[in-house]
Amino acid sequence: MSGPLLRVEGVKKHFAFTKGILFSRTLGHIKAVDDVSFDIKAGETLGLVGESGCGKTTTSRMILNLEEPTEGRILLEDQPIQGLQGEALRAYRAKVQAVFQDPWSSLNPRMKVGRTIAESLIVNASRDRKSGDQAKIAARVRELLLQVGLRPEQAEQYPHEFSGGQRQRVALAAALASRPKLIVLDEPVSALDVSIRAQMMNLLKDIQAQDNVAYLLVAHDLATVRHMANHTVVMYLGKIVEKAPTEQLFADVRHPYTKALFSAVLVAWPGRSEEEIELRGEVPSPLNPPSGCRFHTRCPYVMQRCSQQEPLLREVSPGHAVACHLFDNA
Amino acid sequence: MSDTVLEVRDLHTHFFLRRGVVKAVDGVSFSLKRGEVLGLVGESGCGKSLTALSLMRLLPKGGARTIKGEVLLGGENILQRTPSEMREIRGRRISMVLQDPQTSLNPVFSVGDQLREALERRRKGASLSEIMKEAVAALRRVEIAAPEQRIGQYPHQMSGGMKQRVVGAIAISGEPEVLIADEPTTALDVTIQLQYLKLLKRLQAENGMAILFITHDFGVVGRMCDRVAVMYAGRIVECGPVKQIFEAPQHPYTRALIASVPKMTGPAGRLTTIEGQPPSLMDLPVGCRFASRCALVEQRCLDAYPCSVRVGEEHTADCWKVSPS
Repeated sequence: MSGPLLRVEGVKKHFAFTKGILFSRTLGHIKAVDDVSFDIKAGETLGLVGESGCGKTTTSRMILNLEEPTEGRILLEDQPIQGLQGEALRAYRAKVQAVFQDPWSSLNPRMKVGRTIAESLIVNASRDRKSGDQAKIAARVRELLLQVGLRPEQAEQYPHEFSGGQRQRVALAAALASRPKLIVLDEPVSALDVSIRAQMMNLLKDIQAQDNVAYLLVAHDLATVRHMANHTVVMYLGKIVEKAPTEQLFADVRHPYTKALFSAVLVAWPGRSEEEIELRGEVPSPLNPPSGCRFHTRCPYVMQRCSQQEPLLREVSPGHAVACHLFDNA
Repeated sequence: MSDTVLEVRDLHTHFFLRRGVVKAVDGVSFSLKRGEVLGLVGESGCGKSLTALSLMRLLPKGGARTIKGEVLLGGENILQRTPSEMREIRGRRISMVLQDPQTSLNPVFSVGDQLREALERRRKGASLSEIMKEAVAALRRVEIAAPEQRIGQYPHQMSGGMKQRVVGAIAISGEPEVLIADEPTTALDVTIQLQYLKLLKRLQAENGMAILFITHDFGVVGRMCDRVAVMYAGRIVECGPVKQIFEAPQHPYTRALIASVPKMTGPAGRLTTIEGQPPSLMDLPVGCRFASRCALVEQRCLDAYPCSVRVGEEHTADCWKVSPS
């Protein structure tokens, strides 16, 4: 296979906004995700960055096949994922797994963690393994616990006996059980303490190096993305405003919104001299997004055409694309 | 008169449970000067929030008691005030902003009503129209656009950043000498967080209040604070000016903690981690509390808790291995 592992092509997701129950009327559409495209290569990490309401979670839910796109398509290994059913859908779920933000709500408190991991194995296993080889399953659970840095005997413990960081490791072990090709990591470290966060990030990198698994890292923390991701996509109100290889993005930020995000990252080491952009006002409602460029209401460089014409995502240098009128003539 | 507004000496707040005693705050001392921002950093469970609640004398029900120490506000020990005297002190002399604006505001009252309640107690005898005028002014001070309209709205009609501004307006309405901010921006988006921090700085410049800023984020410390105190397992292990702590941390815990933060510059390689877990607060070791995770550990670290060593101007560290300046 030469193409990317996952391809997202012009995907839109609009949620109808209705009033009334029996004779409900549609009042409008919330354009949660509006024409988003990107690729993820096997064994690589793509970082998806933006503030709340920018559509990053909706995008990841579509990739997990939990939401159907309104328009556009998503392909895994060149196969469209829409309309998958039965065995094919099960096979897809085995290939694409997820780890969510809150390790307190993602594990069943009444189930021993070994059982949680085993269940993921049984559900996602192909038919031959489902025939019930208990010893094999137990061996694989032990192997997974070791892989995420826990002790095999901890399989017999309940989630409340674990700390937040350990629970996140259990969630990761359950996600790894089916040997996925892609794991969606939705804010995997933001609920963890600083020192634990570093352990988890190192572990994720080690596992990627061993198993060649790809990650879609949904995060709001740029420093986390910088350490984890090969490519970074920045979203604002359902649109991609900038995408680039991570190293290039951090060296050469172009879009005013991305610049504002970088300014807002509170660098612990004071005394840097970059230009600083403080955004005024709040993120507008996605129900009624601003005309033209969606960022123009908060943009410090706003020009006349920004409110009339929507900027297209265009390359400013190889692999580095920006949607902003400032670069129209670049 | 010195310009120290708040001095905390050897504060101990423990939880007395049937299973044993949880020593959540166990010998905390620091001071806060007029117009200064002191950051209190540490990981979950290190006792930073309980320190704040001890200062406010708002300990959670169920066995928490301050058993030792002094909290000197303008020279008088507020731990010896009666509950009714404390009610006069809270809000007027020492005030607090919490992490989640959603739970700090009452959802069934308009923000105007909630501001009025705070203002009425402090401006006894003022007429309603005077108070409402002040409430509008208070919202304007925290940079809420169109405060005349906003004053009649309910919390659910506002965004998270705006709600946190309202909480801030209520907290500073009594012009307190000390404001305790307990992770006030953790629930906010990054661009909104920056707005809020800048607002706090501006308000502080206007009225010269001292801020105790509790956070786990070193970025916020770098932006907001003049000095920083690092807490570990119920005690402050290092305290000093922000620049010195960032550039030359002395305590091994501070050093490891700063090293484990992902950076925005420099090599993006493997992160340094701190192995192991903090000790149980029910069963604290006699020696240094960080000893079990420390790379420099020696016998004396296990035998006795190190004394506070002065390592620089206003800079102390509790470690046997540091040398005094």
